[in-house]
Amino acid sequence: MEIPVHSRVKSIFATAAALALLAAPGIAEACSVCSAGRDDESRTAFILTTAFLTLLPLALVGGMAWWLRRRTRQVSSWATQQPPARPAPIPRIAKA
Amino acid sequence: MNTQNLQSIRLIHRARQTPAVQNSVLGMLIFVVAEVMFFAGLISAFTIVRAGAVVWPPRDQPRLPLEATAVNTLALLASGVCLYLAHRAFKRDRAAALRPLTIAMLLGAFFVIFQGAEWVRLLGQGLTLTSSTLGSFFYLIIGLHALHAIAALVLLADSWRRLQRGWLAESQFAAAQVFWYFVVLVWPVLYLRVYL
Repeated sequence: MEIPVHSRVKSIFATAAALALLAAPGIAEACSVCSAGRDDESRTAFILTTAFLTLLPLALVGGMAWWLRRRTRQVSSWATQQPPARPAPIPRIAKA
Repeated sequence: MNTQNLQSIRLIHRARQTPAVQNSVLGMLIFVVAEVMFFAGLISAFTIVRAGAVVWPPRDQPRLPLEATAVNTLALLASGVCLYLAHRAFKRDRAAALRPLTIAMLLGAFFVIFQGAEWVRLLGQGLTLTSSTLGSFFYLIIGLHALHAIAALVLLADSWRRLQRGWLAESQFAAAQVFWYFVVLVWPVLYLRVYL
């Protein structure tokens, strides 16, 4: 079976693109937040702040959800423990 | 339907009607969570810049006043304690909450005024918003905290005025407290990261 010419051209371009991508990591070092090639203190700061900013919102939202759940349970137990208010007596209408 | 069933239905209905948290407190808590993330972002940026600097603090820049600000930190923490005492007094007798609330506000105002005086001194010594990365982060982080402190003081002053006139709602006081506690508790973190 013969391969059409346009498919061959496509595969050459795809291979060239793949080779170009392999060379790309050299350029990626210019990224301002890349920790490659920096000193230990800076790298540690990046790791710590990333962990801090990842965990903090989870802790805040989780803590708030836990507190709301606890509070809801407390309030419902208080409400059910107290005796219900008795309805006011119906006033009698004097007969004429 | 017997009487016991009717009573339990009434109890469940009442439990559902009682709010777990007042709306004002919940709204303030959500706002505070957003503000905590805001300060966390600023502190993280400051930490990275500081770690990447060859010399810290930068040369030819004045040193931040550690001891004086430590005293100011104590004043702010004391104001938080006074507000807690006001909260406890408010539960027992509303009029008794006026004095601790006044002291809390005065201590908070002292903190803001003292910080302002320190800023004037630092500006005079050459630490400005554009003089160095230290100056930029210092005025940004500490300035934003001061803005929050002023806003919280306005809330507390409003609560104080309402309390004096006898129409302070518990929910409003609770929301003001949440905001002030945030201002008080975020400060030691800023002090430890920025000043030390």
